[in-house]
This record gives sequence, structure tokens and C-alpha cells, in this order.
Amino acid sequence: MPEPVTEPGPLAVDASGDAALKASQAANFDNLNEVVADSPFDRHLRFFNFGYRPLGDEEPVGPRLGPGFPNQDSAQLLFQVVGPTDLTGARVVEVGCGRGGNLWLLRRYFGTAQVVGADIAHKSVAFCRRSMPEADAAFVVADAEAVPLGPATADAVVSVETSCTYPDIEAFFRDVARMVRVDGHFLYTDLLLTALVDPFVALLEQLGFELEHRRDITANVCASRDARAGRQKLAFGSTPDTDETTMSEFVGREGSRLYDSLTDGEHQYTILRFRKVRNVAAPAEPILARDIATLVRDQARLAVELLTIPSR
Amino acid sequence: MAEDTFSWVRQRFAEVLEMDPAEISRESRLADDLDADSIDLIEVVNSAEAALGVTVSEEQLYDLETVAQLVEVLDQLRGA
Repeated sequence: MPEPVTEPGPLAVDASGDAALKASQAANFDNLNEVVADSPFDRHLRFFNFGYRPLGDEEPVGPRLGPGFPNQDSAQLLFQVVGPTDLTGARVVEVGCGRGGNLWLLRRYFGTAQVVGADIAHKSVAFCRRSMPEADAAFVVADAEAVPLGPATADAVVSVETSCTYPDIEAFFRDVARMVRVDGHFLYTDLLLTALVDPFVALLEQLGFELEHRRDITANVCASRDARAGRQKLAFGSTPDTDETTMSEFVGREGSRLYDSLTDGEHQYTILRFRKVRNVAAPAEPILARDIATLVRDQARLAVELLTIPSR
Repeated sequence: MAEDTFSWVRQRFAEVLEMDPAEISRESRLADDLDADSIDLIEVVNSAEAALGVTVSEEQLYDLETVAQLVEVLDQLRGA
């Protein structure tokens, strides 16, 4: 684990292909941090995800949070992803930790021994370090496809609504398989092109994971957006007209491209909970079929494009 | 519980939630009775921090269930 610096700087990346996409994604989220910094909600805004809302008679799971907890639906999404996984005494790594909300919750309610967050946006990492200065929390600016942690150093890796922006998802999955110890967990959820879910499960199984739980939560995520998107947009403060479309995408408002792609079946929001059952010497050649890898890149480009803030 | 703190909090909640202050009591539950969400609560707490010169920690804020609990936190922070 590298020694964290006090004020992280941007990750150095070259300006072509996947690296350019990652640089755009980092810049987008750094910009979003600046937008939030100008709002009165800055210190409380720890989540950038669509959340999970129980439907009908369904009871929420996990710790009960007071009404003052911001982004209750985001907390519920995490609790649904963790499910019955015991994280007591665990070292938990979150890849794409954003502003650290998930790790804040895991640290407070799940008895973790250490939480480590990695994110490509240095301003998100800076926020995490300011808001979680405790000795058992560490944050690093990192590319999700190459997190600077040793092999088998994580009892669990968490990934929540971030992988859809990764151009080389196989590199990310391989890195997760490298970091998670045998018997450890990969707690994963995202909004994915529906056609990618089965290939992702097959790939992770080939990398030594066993699928413990799989659930399509699209309806719950849409319910969260229906209930909260309008209110959450307020937390970002007043938005220039040029940014309206992007901010609607960020909060997943009805009528946004991402929201509509969930309701029309193009995308599916899925929870995938894996346990690592064996170490695998991954082949040098890619495992994912080329057409699937192309679809992954298309998905990442679309997501990054939709989330680019024009005025910044 | 200092009466002036309660009066201040009640008035601020009434403004944020667009309610009659008389509908807000110490026992009012923030979510169930007032239908306040985290954004409402943060607005009230932010203005309380500015007006009273105190800082409410995230842990204190996130555990609040009632108006009385918020008043108690603010009074503790003011040393009342």
C-alpha cells in the first residue's frame, strides 16, 4: 500500500484511446466535485449513484439510518450488494470509491478493520481524505484497471456503479481477482448493457470466482430515481443551462438517456456477489470475445460522453 | 432544553418545509411527522451552524430522529 500524499494530483495518463477516455472520466468527476463544492451540501454529499428503493412490501436491509442521512437509497444499494457477507475485521477495497460514502458506511456499521478507496478523480480522493482522516481509512488516486495494491490483500473488493465507464473491463476484473484472497468476496453492482451481464459472469468464473447471488434490481433503481432525482438535483445548486442535460444524467432523471435505457431494457442494473474459490493463472490472451470487448468500450464511451459537463 | 433554541429550530423548519410553526412540536419525528428529508435537515442544520456558531458532526446529524434531538445537540454544542 503506497503512502498516501496529503493533496493528491491528477493521474498521469497518455492522451490516446482508453487513456483519453479515462482522462475524460477523471476530469468529469473532478468537475463534479467543483460543482458540489459550491453548494451548501458539499460535506454531506458522499454518493454519486442511482440508489436502490425497496418496492411494495419489501423491507430495507442492513443498518437503520436516521432521516438526516443523505442518500438513503445509495446506502440501501450498498446494503443490498453486501447482503449477508460478513465483513467483520475485513480489509475492504473499493474501486471507484468516488466521495467515499460506501466506505464510510462499511467502516461505521460493518466492523471493518481497514477500508481502502481507489478513484481516478483526484478531487474525489482529496474529499475522502479530508472527510475520513482516521488511521483505518486510506485513499489513493488510481486507475481501476491497475490498483496499486498487492495480490491477495483484500478480503473484499466493492464496486458500485462505476465499471460501466471502464473501457477495458477484463483488465479491471483481472485486477480484482488478483487483489481478492481466496474465500474473499467481490461485491459488485452496476448499470450494464443487458447483453454484457452473462459474459461478465462467465469471465469472473474463469478468473476463480463463484457466483453467490445475482439479481436484476432495475425496477428498484428506477424507483429510487423516480422518488429522488428531482430533489437530489437541488443539492448540486443552480446549474448553467448548458449543463442541464448532463446534470439530469448524473441524477438519472426520468427522460435522461441513462434512465430511459434502464426502462427500455437496453441496460440492466444488476447485483453480482461473488466468492473467490481458487487462484487462477489468467491467460496472456484476452478471455472476453472481441465483439463483447467492443461493446464494453462503446458502453464506456457513451457513459463518459453523457456525464461530461459542457461548461467546465 | 433551551426554549430559544427550540423556537429557532421550529421557525427554521417551518420556513424550509413551508409549514405552520404550530404544527411542529419537540416530539415531531423528522421523517414520519414532518416529511423532512436529508436535504431539508441539512438546510436547517447549515443555517443553525451559521447562526449559532457551532458545527454539527456528520454522526450527530445522521442519527437524528426528532426535533428534540436536534435541539439537544445544538444546546450541547452551545454549552447551554
